[in-house]
Amino acid sequence: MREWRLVKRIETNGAMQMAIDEAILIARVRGLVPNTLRFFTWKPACVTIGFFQNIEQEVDVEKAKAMGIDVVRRYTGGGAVFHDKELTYSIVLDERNVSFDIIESYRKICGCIIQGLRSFGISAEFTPINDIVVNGRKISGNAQTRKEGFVLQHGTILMDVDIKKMFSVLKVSDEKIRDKMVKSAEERVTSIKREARKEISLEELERELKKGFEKVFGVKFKEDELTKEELEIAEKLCKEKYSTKEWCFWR
Amino acid sequence: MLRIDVEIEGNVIKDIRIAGDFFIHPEEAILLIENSLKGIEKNRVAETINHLLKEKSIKIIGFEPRDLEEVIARI
Repeated sequence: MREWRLVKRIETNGAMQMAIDEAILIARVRGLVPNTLRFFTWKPACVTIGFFQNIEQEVDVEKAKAMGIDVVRRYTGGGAVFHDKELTYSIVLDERNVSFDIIESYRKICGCIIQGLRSFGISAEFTPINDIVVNGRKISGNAQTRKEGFVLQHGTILMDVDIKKMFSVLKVSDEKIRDKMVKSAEERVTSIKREARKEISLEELERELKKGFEKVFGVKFKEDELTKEELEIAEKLCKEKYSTKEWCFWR
Repeated sequence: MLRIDVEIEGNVIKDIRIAGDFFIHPEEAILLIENSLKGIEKNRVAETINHLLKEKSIKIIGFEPRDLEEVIARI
């Protein structure tokens, strides 16, 4: 059976997390590392925006700063996400191991998450383009990029959700709409805590998600660290790209 | 959702910037798309983008070139 790498869970800030994801992709393209799955958490909480979004339009940057919440632009497209009480995964793999078709590859990778959630009695499904929902409520958002035949996909799995806090940093122009948005978001978003009806630890969730990936892809994971090269690339990307104003405000 | 900042003179696009929660593969191709529209008449937006997508194997997920043309037509 093929062996892929699982990188031990890392807790750090958003700029470094995004830099690590890109560093693994670069290392994979260069043939320095095998296909790799990792899980991570955000400290401090962070808003990420999609590659093509206008930061000022999506995020109250001043308020986020005052609340100690980071704001970082992703390499991947898609929408703005408030990362707080969640487990995030990222997987880097050869597109021949998943699919050349983008929607099909979302479906397959999201299938691993759905498989993992099933072990907690949560019945989730994939809704194209890139969401996982439980009874119509979103529990996971996902985004991918591709580089020279390799795929990087990262996504959230909500452990718990504080919608008021979420909308205090994500921009909604008018107060009336804000109240409506909070109400409608409460109906449109769910979490592990709510769906499993019991406390599930990050370790338990991670273990079951890992099994989901193993089952769907027919592989075994070997736990390992990031390589020295990956860490060097990540530190450089963090400092020179993801932490810079030029990157975060580029459109 | 799309946010388009566009400068138009007569029927011709002088400058354009497209932002939103869509996906383009590869991402950097957004600059090619925007550049391809400079100097183009408003009613040739979809045709111009579709040609570029085909020529450079670019994929857009989240909006259609004709949506963009319709939005610009209304400006």
